[in-house]
Amino acid sequence: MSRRGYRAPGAQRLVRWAPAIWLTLFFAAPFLLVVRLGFSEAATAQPPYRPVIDWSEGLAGVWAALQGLRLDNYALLLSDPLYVASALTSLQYASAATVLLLLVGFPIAHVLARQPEGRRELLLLLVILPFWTSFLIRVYAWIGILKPEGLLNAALLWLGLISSPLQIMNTGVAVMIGLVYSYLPFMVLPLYATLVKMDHSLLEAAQDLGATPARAFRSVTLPLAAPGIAAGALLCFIPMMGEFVIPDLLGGSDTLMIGRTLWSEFFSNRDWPMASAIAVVLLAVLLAPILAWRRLEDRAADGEAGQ
Amino acid sequence: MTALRRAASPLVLGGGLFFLYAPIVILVLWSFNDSRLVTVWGGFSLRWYTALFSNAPLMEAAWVSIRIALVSAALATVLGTMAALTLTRHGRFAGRTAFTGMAYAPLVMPEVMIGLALLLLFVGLGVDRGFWTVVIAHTTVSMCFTMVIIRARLAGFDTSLEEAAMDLGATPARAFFLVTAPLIAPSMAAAFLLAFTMSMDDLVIASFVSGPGATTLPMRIYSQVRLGVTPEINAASSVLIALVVVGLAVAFLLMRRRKPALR
Amino acid sequence: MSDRLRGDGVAGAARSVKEARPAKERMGKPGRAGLGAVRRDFAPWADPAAAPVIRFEGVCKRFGDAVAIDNLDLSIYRGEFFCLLGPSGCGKSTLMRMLAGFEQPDAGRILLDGVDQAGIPPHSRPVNMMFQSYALFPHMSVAQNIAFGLRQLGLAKADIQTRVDEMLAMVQLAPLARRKPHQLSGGQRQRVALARALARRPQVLLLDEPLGALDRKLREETQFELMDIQEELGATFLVVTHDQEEAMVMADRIAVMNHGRIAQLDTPGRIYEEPANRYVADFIGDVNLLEGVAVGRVDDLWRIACPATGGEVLVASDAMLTAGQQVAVAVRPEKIRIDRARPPDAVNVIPGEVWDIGYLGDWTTYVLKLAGGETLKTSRANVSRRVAEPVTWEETVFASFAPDAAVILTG
Repeated sequence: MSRRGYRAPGAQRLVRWAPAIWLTLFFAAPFLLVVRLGFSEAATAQPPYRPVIDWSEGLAGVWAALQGLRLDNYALLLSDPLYVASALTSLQYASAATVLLLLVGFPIAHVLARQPEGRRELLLLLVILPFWTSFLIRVYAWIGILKPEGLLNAALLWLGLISSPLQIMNTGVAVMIGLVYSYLPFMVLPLYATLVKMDHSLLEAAQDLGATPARAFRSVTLPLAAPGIAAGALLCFIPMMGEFVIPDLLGGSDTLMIGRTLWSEFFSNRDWPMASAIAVVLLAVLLAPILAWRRLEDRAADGEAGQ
Repeated sequence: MTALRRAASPLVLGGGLFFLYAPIVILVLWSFNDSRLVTVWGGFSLRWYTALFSNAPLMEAAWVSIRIALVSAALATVLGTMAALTLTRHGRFAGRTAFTGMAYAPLVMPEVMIGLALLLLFVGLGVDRGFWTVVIAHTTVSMCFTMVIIRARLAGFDTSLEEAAMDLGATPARAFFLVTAPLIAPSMAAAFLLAFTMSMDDLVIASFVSGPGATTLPMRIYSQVRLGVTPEINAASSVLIALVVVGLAVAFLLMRRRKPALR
Repeated sequence: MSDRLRGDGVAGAARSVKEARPAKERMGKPGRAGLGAVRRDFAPWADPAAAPVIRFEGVCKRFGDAVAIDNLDLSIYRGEFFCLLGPSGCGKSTLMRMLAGFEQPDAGRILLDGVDQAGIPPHSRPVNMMFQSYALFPHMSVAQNIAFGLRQLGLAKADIQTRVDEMLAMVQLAPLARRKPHQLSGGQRQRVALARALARRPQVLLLDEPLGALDRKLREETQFELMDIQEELGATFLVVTHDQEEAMVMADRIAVMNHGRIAQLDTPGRIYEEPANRYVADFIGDVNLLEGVAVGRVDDLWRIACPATGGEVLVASDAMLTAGQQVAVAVRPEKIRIDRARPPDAVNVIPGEVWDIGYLGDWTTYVLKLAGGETLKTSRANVSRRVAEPVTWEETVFASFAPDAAVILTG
């Protein structure tokens, strides 16, 4: 122990290092394993893959491994239309859902941010509350609503809007509904955070200077909300790309999102290297959005510190 | 024009809240429906609840989930607080960028990837999968969420309070426990609750890293749900929703009562 | 204590600055008798034929249970520099925001150039506002901020550029045109806000606490700049402020507001030297309010029995009082002399003990404790650097003031 007395270096070191070590061990290191396994070959063994590097041979083994790196998984990924299609479907669904979420989430966040202070907190709580109830259950609830003999079809039939039940369940539409529904709080929250911080007098100033409310919105609100829009979009887009539960429960057999493909590669086909290769590709695709999101968050944090 | 705009905001809010709550409310209603069909009201009944509580595998899974959630939420709160303190109080340090990257990435990382990655780690280390592997996995993800919540509180927190405590002779550790901790306690409680519910909720990661004897509640529910709507699951969902609502209401009331004292 | 001292110092500075202004056209006719200093010969309100540019007629505004504006009438004239002065919550900002169109009156009319503004949205009104927070668009440069209002007019690009350059020159910010608001100092931001609000050449410029965010030195300079710009443009300026110095220095007329009503509407000189009631006397500058009872009239003087002074004081006043009426005698500290010996020729002499001395540099304030326990504040200009025998604590001195130095207040 140091004798500086007034300090407790042990405790401070623990505070600083414990989370870092935990995350390195259980978050960063596993991803290296995924990358490594993505270059392995499947085997009917336990675990069901052959290691890339045989550590018992030391450096020679590393060299041999480098020479023998199998790109087969990646070649197959690219050549098999199933994988390419599921990647494209994911991209398609995640992007479309992000746009929809913006269209649905922005008005809600905007209205919320303009409420009187007391009411605002309560309403925001109401918007976040569903996020606290089980995700799985909320997705499951939609099955009963969307299935052919479900509530929505019954209501539409009763209203006479349709004559025979619509096939919504097990289609892309159901997946979109599920995505928008499940991720709505994640979109509303960052949008709300930027909009509520916005000085209302800026809008008044714009109107005072002759801008109609619509123009004031376009030339002041939107540009100032841009960081929130970007943050919300990324916060939804990134996890949606790898979404499994929603396409699995609400989508049809043709709604192959990449997360679902990874899951079935892993659990059904027991092809761990292939699952890892998919994860590597997914990570590569998401790396840029994740970095962009991090930059935004950092800048927001810096901005707050500067104010 | 103004009338239209005045009508727009309740409409947007009402519509949004309806969209968010309708499925949940419907689910709860179904759980009391005597009929198996979602479109037929067969009368009020508690039969699905009776069925639920006599479903031994489901009850067992619930107990596993609760234990995992308690342990992982406690760990995540401690680690998240540490991470938040490091990020708000220690300024710039070597590896800060790497650290914040690691601390924030799990917030957005698709669960299938985290699950797969952790599974490979546990297999690589030769660890038997079960209760503790799920705890570790859940702690890893939850600690990032707890960190965000506690960091937000710490950021809006006057450092001079800690400095005053130290000026009055408290060691940094004592200053933390006597001054900082009581002030961030509400957000630590919120963080714990969030970590708990996230753990109770997780299907994907648990599916990867769980082993025999450690089947969690979402895993059980999922395997039944895949077969379609089952009233028993409606009842289980309603119980979970009720627990969340009660927990949050208590937390909200507690915070409300505390607020004036803090100011 | 320190607040009151400061208040006195501010009022003192304001007066001395005004008297030191160079004899430009803004000076009044030399030798004209008036109350306070006269800045310029401008009094359209005294002309019954003059049409006001702004008229509030019976305007009421409530927020929930709180009355913000209570049946208020007010006329403001073209070219006038008008100040709404009052503490926070007195309704002054509400009045201005109703004029800009951000709030609607519950009753009454607001006329701009004779046109009822009811139903006209903010973006179509011929007024512009300089916001208290400045409300500069953080994502736009200085030039873009100034051009914003012009772009809404649909002017040609070249015209906008010319006008922006003009405005930048006026506020001396041409070199900073490309900066963003966060790269400017407080004073520079204030000028951008002013230029932006003036770029559309509004009939009326509304200024909400225009100098509130500036430090004291800058505030004094900027006051005169604002006055010069207003005079140059011949525009009507309506300023909302809680700072009496700002109002006294800049305004042609001041409306002192209290709880949604106008407590007094007058020129700065009259507001200071002839306050209409206790509220105004106390709000503006520093004042000694001696409560008393009217006794009787001697020539043009009223005899007021003031228990605090231990006798009667004589006040020159044509107020219509009845004997026995409760009144207050208001005397400004700087109008009270103090002497070591009882001044033989003085009318109102009050002995007291020096209780506190506040030295402000240009002024010194003495707080006297009177026989009855009340305090009396007096102040003295420090006209010379050296004082042979300074008055010190616990000395007994004689305060005195002339009958026309005091005002009788009934309200």
